[in-house]
Amino acid sequence: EEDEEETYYTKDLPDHACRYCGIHDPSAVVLCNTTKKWFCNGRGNTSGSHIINHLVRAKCKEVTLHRDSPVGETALECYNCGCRNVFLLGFIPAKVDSVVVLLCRQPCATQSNLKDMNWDPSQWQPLIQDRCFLGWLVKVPSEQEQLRARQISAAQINRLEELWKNNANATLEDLEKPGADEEPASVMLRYEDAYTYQNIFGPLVKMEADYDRRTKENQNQSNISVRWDIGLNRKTRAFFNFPKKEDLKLMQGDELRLRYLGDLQEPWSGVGHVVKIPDNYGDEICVELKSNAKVPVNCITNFVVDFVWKSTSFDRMQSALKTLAVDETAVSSYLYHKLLGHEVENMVIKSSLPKRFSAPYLPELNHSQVSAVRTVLTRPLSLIQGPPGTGKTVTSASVVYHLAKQGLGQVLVCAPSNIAVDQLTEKIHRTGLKVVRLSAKSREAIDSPVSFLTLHKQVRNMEGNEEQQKLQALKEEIGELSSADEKRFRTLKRNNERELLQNADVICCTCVGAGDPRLARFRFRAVLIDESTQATEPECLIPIVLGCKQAILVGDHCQLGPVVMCKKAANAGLSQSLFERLVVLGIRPIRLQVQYRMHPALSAFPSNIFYEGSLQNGVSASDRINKAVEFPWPQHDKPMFFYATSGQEEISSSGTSFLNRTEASNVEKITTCFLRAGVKPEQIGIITPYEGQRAFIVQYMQYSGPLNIKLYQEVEIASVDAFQGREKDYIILSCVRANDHQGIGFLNDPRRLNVALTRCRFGVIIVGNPKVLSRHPLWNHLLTYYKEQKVLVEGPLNNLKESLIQFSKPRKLVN
Amino acid sequence: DTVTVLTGGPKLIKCDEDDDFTSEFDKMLSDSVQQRNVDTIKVPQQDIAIPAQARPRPKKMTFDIFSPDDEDDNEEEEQAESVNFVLMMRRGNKQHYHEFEVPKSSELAANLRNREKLELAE
Ligand SMILES: [Zn+2]
Ligand SMILES: [Zn+2]
Ligand SMILES: [Zn+2]
Repeated sequence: EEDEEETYYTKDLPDHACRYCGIHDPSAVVLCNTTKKWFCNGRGNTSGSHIINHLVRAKCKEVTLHRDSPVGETALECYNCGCRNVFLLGFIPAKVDSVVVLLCRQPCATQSNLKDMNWDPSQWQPLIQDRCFLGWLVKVPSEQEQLRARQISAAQINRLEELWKNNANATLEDLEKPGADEEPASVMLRYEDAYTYQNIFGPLVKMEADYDRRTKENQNQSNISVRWDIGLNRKTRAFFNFPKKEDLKLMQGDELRLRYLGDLQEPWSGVGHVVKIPDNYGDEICVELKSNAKVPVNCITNFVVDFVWKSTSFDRMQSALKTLAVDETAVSSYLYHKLLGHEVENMVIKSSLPKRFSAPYLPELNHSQVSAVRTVLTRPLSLIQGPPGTGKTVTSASVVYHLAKQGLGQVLVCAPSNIAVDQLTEKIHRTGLKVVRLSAKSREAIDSPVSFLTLHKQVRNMEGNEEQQKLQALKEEIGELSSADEKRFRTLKRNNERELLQNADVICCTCVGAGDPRLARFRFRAVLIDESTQATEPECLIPIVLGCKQAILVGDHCQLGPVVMCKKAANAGLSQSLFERLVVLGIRPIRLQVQYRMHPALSAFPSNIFYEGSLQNGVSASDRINKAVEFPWPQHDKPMFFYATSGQEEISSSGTSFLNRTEASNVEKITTCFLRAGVKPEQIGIITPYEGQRAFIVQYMQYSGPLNIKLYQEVEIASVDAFQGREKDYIILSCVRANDHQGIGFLNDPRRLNVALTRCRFGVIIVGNPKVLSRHPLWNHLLTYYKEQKVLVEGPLNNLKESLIQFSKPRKLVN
Repeated sequence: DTVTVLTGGPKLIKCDEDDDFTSEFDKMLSDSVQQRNVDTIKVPQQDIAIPAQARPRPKKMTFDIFSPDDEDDNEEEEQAESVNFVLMMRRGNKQHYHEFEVPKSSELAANLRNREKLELAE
């Protein structure tokens, strides 16, 4: 009896109880196949049932019914093809019998696929309706049951799902425990010392690293078919497709592990670097294997791909934070105090200024650029703000040229992205300076316009390096060297690399690359960081702590900031750049003021809204009108318009409407019109906020566009972020899913809009729904401006008419 | 044992997290659909026959389109209120069937009735 009482009090909920609310009626709960957790089909106080809340928040898609439910233990799947994605599953009824069958929406339920006379495909309906499973499939718990159950809010659900990412067994109670869900300490404006600084940033970097590891490791994919090939360097290359591409976050240089699971040969696994990712030309991913040994080139199916997560970049940030704290020679004491936000007496660097500020073989500098170069050379710490098209790269290269010519030591030049580093490397090389581009070992196989300046290429072509070259050739021929030869080869290579690095005037690498062990013993008095507003503080610190006495941060805090994936770390301030903090601390950036990119009509709005109207035009309207291109601009002197497209703000919950079709079709029509007018495809850029939409437009244009498929393939379609720092002659901006629930910052972030509007030289077209967009104050301004300019239009492209839509008066914007 | 909680049933509480959920839901839905359009999936174009055993047992057949609704036999009161359907599913390679009830007023039932009438008219 006592035992009974004991068990009575300790009675636990059964395994199949809803992990949110505890409801455990077997016919009302469903198992998530991925996380093996049960959830009920009641919505409590949220907009969807608990199981749907979970699937969406944890990005899961497959479920199984309970064995004691009326249907029995069954994984929901398409009767015809076995697809288990519940977001695609639905049912169709038989024509005359009271029988229904589960079928996926596409392709199995489409008319053409269903030849059978018994079924009526027009009656297809999704299994999830109103964000809840159909009641006849999974019972919806009664109101009574729901009120008796644990009441859990959407906010709690959210936090619980976050906890599960670290600890799959966490419960709602754990949410209340101290520390489980604590917010990290936020960044500050000023820091007492570098230890405080490290204590704030260290945990944020760790959070971001953990987040990154989790998302990367979740990308593992099975059932992969591989196509084998040999690269020019005789290394084995594996080509394959990922079946699940939605959440793919792969970059060139990432490391993947390929495993063979079949039984045609013994188990095998090999590691390699990604050298190609999906693009307009194809969805294939290519991995170059590190070793050719025992690769099962005769097998093509039954492979698994795992992501090999590397902590390198985060380790280097942590190490830079530590160096700043413990090594007094990491930076000059002036910089030390300035970086920490202390008040310091101004300091001037006494150096003989050059007579000419322009650098050889680079464009002549304008007034504001000259003044920037002059000021920078005399200051130990300066910020250069380069709005779009103002010649930031040329100015930076000119600064670097003069710094190097002062003879005070080598200059280190960095940027967060490889593209930005390459662009700057090319300009600096043109001035005649000796430049070495140091790239990560994992990226050596990736081609770039400055490949010939990379350390690994230069070391191969080095004079007086015959022995190393011989060994290299041997290695490539046989695949491997004897251990003695290998040792010798490495020593030679290391010494030669050091020699090249030591003899360079300038070394260029990414910020993270500055933490490369090959630079460990180098000291750089002067460091220039381009696009520094796109780097996190710890990232920016990596090049700075190599002995810096003069730091130049270039960027534009009115354009996109650093990408921080972990929301918590971002909210705590990791997404604020060092540049921005220094601006807030009162260091005035030197602003470049003449823009050479956009037609004056295109620069007016960004200048007024984002740069207090300070942008001047270095190009005239006639420089930016292409007379040969006949395009139906609604106002002939303004190469811009807003193409009002309505009726697709939101995809309906039933999933039966294709919201992207109309917009993709308009984008295709505009593109075709440009191509017909003689614009080359590489002159056109299409900006769209979502990866799903990008893929859709790519496909749509290639299948539905009337012109040669190759033309459409060469049109670049990417996110705003991918276009930052670059330009195109014509930009088509597709706003896509502007709806009231827009959780993603695409439309709300003024910096992203700034970037989107300032990529174009000759013309810009915005496709979107003006009615919905005008609810955002910033977009209201934009739309009102376009309306005033009589370029808010609708109708067919060959007969555009001014739209009569009215907006409320724009509110005053506060920055 | 039934109590009526005076506050009524569970009520929707609007908040940012819930808004995020609804827009993420839309995104997952459209991404799934778009992915399907992009992938060219080859599936067998097969007839899906309705085997005899998949039909609801005649005893439970509740539609009698020849007799008006109010002339239902009094064997079971609830017969007038609900209709039995059969769901055809696959468990691995095996087909199985599951009977379920839907209210006669439901869309599913109404549609079937309409189709039966049409069929008969032809
Ligand atoms: Zn629940
Ligand atoms: Zn799950
Ligand atoms: Zn299917």
